[in-house]
Amino acid sequence: MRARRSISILLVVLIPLSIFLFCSRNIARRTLQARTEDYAVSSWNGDYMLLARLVSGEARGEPFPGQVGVAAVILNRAKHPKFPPTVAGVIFQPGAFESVSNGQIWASYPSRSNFNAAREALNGWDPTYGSLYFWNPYKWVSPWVWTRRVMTQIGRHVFGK
Amino acid sequence: MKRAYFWIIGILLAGGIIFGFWSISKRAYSAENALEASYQRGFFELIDQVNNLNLLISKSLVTSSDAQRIMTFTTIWHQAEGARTSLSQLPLGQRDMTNSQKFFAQLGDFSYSLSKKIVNGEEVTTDEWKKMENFKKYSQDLSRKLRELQNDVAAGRIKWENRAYAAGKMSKLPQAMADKFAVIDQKLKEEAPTITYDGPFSDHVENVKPMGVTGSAITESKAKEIAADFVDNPDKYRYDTGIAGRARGNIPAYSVELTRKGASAPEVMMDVSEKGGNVIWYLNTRAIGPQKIDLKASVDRARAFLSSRGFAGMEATGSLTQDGTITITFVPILNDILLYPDFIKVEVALDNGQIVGFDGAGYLTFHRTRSLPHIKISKSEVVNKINKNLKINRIRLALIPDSAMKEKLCYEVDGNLKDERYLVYINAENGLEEQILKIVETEKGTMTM
Repeated sequence: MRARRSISILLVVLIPLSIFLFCSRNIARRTLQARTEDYAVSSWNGDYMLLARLVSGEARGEPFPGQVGVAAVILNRAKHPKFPPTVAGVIFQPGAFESVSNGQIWASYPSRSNFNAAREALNGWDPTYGSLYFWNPYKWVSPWVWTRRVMTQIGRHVFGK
Repeated sequence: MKRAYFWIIGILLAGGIIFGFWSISKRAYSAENALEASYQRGFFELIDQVNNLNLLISKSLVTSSDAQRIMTFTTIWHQAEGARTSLSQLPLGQRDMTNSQKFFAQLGDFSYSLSKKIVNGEEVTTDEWKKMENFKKYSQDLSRKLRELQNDVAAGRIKWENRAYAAGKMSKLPQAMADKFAVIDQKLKEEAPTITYDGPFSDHVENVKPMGVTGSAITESKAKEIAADFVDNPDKYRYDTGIAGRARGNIPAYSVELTRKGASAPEVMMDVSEKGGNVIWYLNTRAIGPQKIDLKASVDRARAFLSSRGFAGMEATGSLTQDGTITITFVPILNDILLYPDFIKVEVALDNGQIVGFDGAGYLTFHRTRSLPHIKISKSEVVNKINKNLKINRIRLALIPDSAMKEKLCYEVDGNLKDERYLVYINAENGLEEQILKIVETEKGTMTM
């Protein structure tokens, strides 16, 4: 009787666990497929697409100039001696952006306003006055960023150099 | 009988779970190794590139042939850019490695500017050689420290990632490698001097002071007044104005928000300079309807807007149509000379011709009364200098900024090579070819590359 009960407890624990393990592999595969489709539609302009994706990952729900600001920071970095010389190099620099580290950048397709923001920044508009960093002052950030010269705040992001 | 049945199920499940864990940790392990391999590749490439830089700088100091020097300097440029790329692929986390990046960028950029000098027949000055020797000193130091790290890596004492993903061991050990890099970077910051030369990464480029901002300081209420007057408002909406904050860029400014009466979110955002009350940029975020006006009418609308806001005598030089708006670039003309650095961009909505965007940062940063250099080259001399295959459409004078923010008075030669259009800039003082732009005409507008 006792053995039977322990076995049924074991089953209750193990069956959901194995189902979960099995599914997690499928989930990983499905997101990968979604990604390839995104690329097939929009591989016409790498910089534009990448910028829009980063804006969507980092500045979702921000006012429009704040989204342009995030894209402008990427472009400012690509032009600056202290950062890699290409847009892709800046975005994928290890540890540089949280949305790249946690996969948010691939989580969903950029919205129309994300694309517009990327385009405005590529057109040369920079509401951040040459900022190289942005951070959310309402979240925990490395104390180091507060040693940067603050340029402006747009929405929930502080922009600095 | 029943008992055995349960046992079999139990064993199968346990086996399945063990297999699941095993396959997941195996995949994690190989992914981790792949990551480690790409980090190691970046590191060893960086070592190679720094060694090469060392060697090349020494050679440039020794050689007496100009041809050899040009080759060496451009190779230094190439290797330094490679070092930047390698460095940026290393997982240094939140550590500030920007000084090493800057060191390589300036070394490459500086060498490139020297090779350009030699090509143009100028001498490299003793001061510049001294700077090169300084670069040599720092890159030797860097090379030595990297080789020390390399020894540790080869001995297997350091890995970039410390088994962070292995099952059961989720805590990350301190990354010794990244910390060592941070020390090297800090040292570079303390020792390497700021340098000024003729290139885009020179230290002077970052610290441009705005020259077009004149006048006295204004108050917040004056800024709100200016904003309400400046914005293009054909439907005479009543806006509530408010100050959203201050911008502390190269032009300190009030950020003004204009909200339609009754609306919750601001419709127009604008920065007005604290000094003089100049509008730096504004943007109207309203939704844009289907196109109703043509491109020519929109250019006229933009020009009328500019002259009503005090910017007369501007010439439209390029445009880009996207998503229901057209962005037109205007530059001022002075004595038939186009002043490209002082550009203004105006965005016109194609549904009703309203100005929905204005960007005058270039104008405010660079516009001033300049003393332009004397023209020493005639138009016919320019025609002789141009590549004979280029069919010339038009020649006019223009002031252009180079990558180091130096302004150069040039002849702008608009010409065709078969069906491709180019702009060639010939220096009006010394006849040197300063710049070539390729013009790409798309259905969306004219772009230069």
